[in-house]
Amino acid sequence: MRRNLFYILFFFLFIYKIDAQIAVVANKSINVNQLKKSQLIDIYSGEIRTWSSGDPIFVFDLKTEDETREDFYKLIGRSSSRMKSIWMKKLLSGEGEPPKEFSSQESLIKKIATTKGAIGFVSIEKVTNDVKVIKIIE
Amino acid sequence: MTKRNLSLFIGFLLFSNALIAQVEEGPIKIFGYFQTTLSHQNTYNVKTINSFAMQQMNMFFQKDLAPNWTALVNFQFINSFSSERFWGNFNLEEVWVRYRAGQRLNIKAGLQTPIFNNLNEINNRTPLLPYIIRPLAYETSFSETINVEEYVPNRTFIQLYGVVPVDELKLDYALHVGNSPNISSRILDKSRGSLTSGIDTSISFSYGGRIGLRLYDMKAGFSYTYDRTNLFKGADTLLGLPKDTFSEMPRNRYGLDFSFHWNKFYFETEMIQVVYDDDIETFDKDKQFYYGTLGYNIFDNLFVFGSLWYIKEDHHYNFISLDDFDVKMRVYNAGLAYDFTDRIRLKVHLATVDIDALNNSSNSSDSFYYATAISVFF
Repeated sequence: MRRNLFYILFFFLFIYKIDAQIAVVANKSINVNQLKKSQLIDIYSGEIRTWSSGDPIFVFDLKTEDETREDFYKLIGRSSSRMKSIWMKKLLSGEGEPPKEFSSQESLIKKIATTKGAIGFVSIEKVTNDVKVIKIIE
Repeated sequence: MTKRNLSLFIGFLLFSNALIAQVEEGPIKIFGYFQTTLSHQNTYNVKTINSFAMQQMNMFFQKDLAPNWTALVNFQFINSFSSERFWGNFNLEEVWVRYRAGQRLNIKAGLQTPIFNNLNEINNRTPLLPYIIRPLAYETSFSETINVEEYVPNRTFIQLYGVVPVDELKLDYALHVGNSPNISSRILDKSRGSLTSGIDTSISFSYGGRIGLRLYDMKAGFSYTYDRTNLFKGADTLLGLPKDTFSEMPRNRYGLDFSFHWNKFYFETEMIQVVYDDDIETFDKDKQFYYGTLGYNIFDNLFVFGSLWYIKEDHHYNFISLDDFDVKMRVYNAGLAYDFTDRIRLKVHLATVDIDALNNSSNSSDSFYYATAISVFF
């Protein structure tokens, strides 16, 4: 029975991963309608700091405990630990600071809606009309 | 006004000025890290040491002065520093201001670590490294056996660097210029006369740079530095050569680096070759260094690694009774790094060191090193 239970749990975990849909959202002032995964990696690792218009990018993140965060980094091909080491290196070399973290997706959406040039990510069901969706990753 | 009121008034002025300045220019950010170790060392089966130490602490002060302008100061304390007890060292590691014109161009002026190979830029950022002792050419605690400053450039003063993206490919570049190694020292240079310590005593500079490629999780680069050193000044008389043969001897350092991440694996390797351009048959002090590290993330917060380091130093100078003499060092390492939190890391490191000193009387010795450390970022 225990073994079957394990398989069932594993199956649901697997289904969950497949079903995870994350929306990359931005402030409505941003004149960008699509981003490639590689551009997202560059933005979230501090390689790209300005939009094509020259305006600064304000990158927002979720707290480590949030499952959406874990899924987001996995889907763009970077583990949380890898991102942490990239940002620690940048911080200790004076090359930049890690993205500001929010404890809930609702507060993240609110902040993006009121910050010009802001970008973040939330699970798709949390998206509101206050922000612009620029990519859906799954 | 009493002395106390005066000091309160001055304190208020200083404090309020700082507040106003910070509102206009952005606050001063203060952060740092320390690493405290417990090590066991058995050297040549003769001497055994167990010791706690505050291996390293760095304090950073960073301030955004204006859009695109940032200044940073980095103080370093090593080996349980105490000026009262004459322990360890205190260093001004970095003091620089940077102008960021964009991703493609950054200009940094002031005392700084040059970009050379993969590790040089972060070799003093201990929390970033899984090692407790760093690969040989970077490990200052081996300075009694090998002169680490010969292998890698430690400081420079002006640096241009940036990234040029071409689709998915990124081209990294860095160019730097700084002092030659001939710096006036209060202790080492007794004949410096009225020279101020800490300044270059020659007219030559040190030049160098790195070009690199990054594609997805792979990174490779070639580094180079050129400088002229007075390290062997005086050896000419021992070799019966004309005076000043070894003055400002040209030195070339070549470096190759390669690293990649694949799934949970990480691989990193470097090669450094130091070549003295002396054109003298009876004199050879060239050096080589290699290391390779393979690591694996068992969990997000647990990293294990195995690493091999190798150094070969030529000591060929035919004078007195000392014939050709090479030093070879091999270090076999294994270790792990476990993150309790994002800011606290536990490290364990095991290493065996083989040293072969080959001359007329062949000599070989081994030592064993075990250390555990807590690395804290604050």
